[in-house]
Amino acid sequence: MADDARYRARRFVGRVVGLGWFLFLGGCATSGGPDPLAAMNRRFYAFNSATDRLIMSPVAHVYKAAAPKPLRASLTNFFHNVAYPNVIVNDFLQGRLGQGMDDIGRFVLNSTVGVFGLFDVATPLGLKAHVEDAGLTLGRWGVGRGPYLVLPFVGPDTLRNTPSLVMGVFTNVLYYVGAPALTVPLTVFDVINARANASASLRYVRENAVDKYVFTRDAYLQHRDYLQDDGHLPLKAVEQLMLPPGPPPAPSHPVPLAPVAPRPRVAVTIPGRPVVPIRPPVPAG
Amino acid sequence: MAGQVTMRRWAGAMAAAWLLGLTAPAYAAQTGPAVAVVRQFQDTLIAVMKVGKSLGFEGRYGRLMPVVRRSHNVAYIAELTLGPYWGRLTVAQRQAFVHAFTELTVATYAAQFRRYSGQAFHRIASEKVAQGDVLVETDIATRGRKDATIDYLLAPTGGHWQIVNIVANGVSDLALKRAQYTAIIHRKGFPALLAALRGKVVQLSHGTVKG
Repeated sequence: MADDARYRARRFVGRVVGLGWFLFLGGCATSGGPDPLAAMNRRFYAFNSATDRLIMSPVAHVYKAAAPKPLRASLTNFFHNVAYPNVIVNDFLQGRLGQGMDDIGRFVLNSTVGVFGLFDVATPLGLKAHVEDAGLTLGRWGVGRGPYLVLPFVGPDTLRNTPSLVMGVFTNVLYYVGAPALTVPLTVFDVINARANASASLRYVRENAVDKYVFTRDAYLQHRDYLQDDGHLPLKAVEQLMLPPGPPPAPSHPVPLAPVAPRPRVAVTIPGRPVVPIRPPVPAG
Repeated sequence: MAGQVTMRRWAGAMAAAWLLGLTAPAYAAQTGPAVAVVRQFQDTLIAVMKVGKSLGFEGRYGRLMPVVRRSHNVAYIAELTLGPYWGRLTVAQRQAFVHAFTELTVATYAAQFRRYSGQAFHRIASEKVAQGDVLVETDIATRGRKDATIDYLLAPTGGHWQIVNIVANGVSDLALKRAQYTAIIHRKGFPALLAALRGKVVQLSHGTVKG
């Protein structure tokens, strides 16, 4: 009897917490810009950058120098494979039965023929890897993405995607191995390997960004939207960029700009290039 | 009766094939010149990468500058990246910005496409989109393994097609630049943005961006 009451109480609390969380997500999804927590996010971004510069980057550098490329590729395959049940679970949660069955086949094939996932034998056979997680599943269920977050030691995220952090742990094969002497070092290697693999992307950010925080945030959010849309080009958003902009927001500091003037369409000379209309009207037909 | 149905289906299929035959070349003619601009630009990138090491940064920059100016509508992209702030700049400020933006665009290509390790561009498809622009879809792969999807948006300018936006794996370069540039102007003002662009060019040319 007492057990039954405890069970009911736990279920009630679970439901209240779950409902509260969904309402919070819904509220955040409609609260204006994508980065209402920018001040906190920028602090965590600076913290993560410093941690990376002082610890992770040197460790990844040593790891890359010590481990030959084929070994790193196999370890990447292995870590990707042990985490792949997360994709499968989310396939089914999204109602993608065919993709789910394909992903089960991929996981089984790579875990057996591919020697515990060290070799990706499934992709050449047409069983391509998919990207699915709890955040994308919630998005498919209609939950708004909520505010952008930068989490310490984790990096860019959104509120909607935070359950992925927990779900990713419980759907990882290593969680069920039950031998910490094996799984703890493997998890450390997973983190170092992931950081080493991210070197090219981080270099891309450093080469392209004039404001690394804004660059990372917008690239992350755009890419998540792209994944949410199953890798289809966000054509409407791209076309939207070509339209005349609205008025600028009020500056946070006095900005030394010229007074507002009528916007000419022909005004710019590129050095070494004749003056040409920036963009003449599109010819008919 | 069955023969009549078969004949009707056959005639329908022939009509559809004829229509497709008519429309396909017309469609190709509409987007073909835009596709050619992308192909030529990508061919130049691969060619520069193949001799990238011997050319050095300055050499790659010099080779890419005229090609980027020809294939990209840099002035128009520069205007779009500033969004609502463009209309508030003086002519001199606009010229300075377009100059710095052009240099940064070319310097970024020169820094990123610095060495060849089997990269190739594939899968060129194209379609007409809003405002008469053309979208050219491509992939970049290294030794047959796909690295990224790279889509180019081209607009007609002065009688020929030029790139006005590049979208890599769903991430719009123009949107990223606009987000950063307008954020810098909003927080620190236009001179700070100009200084940031110029500083970036120096950084890239000195190879001080490390991976």
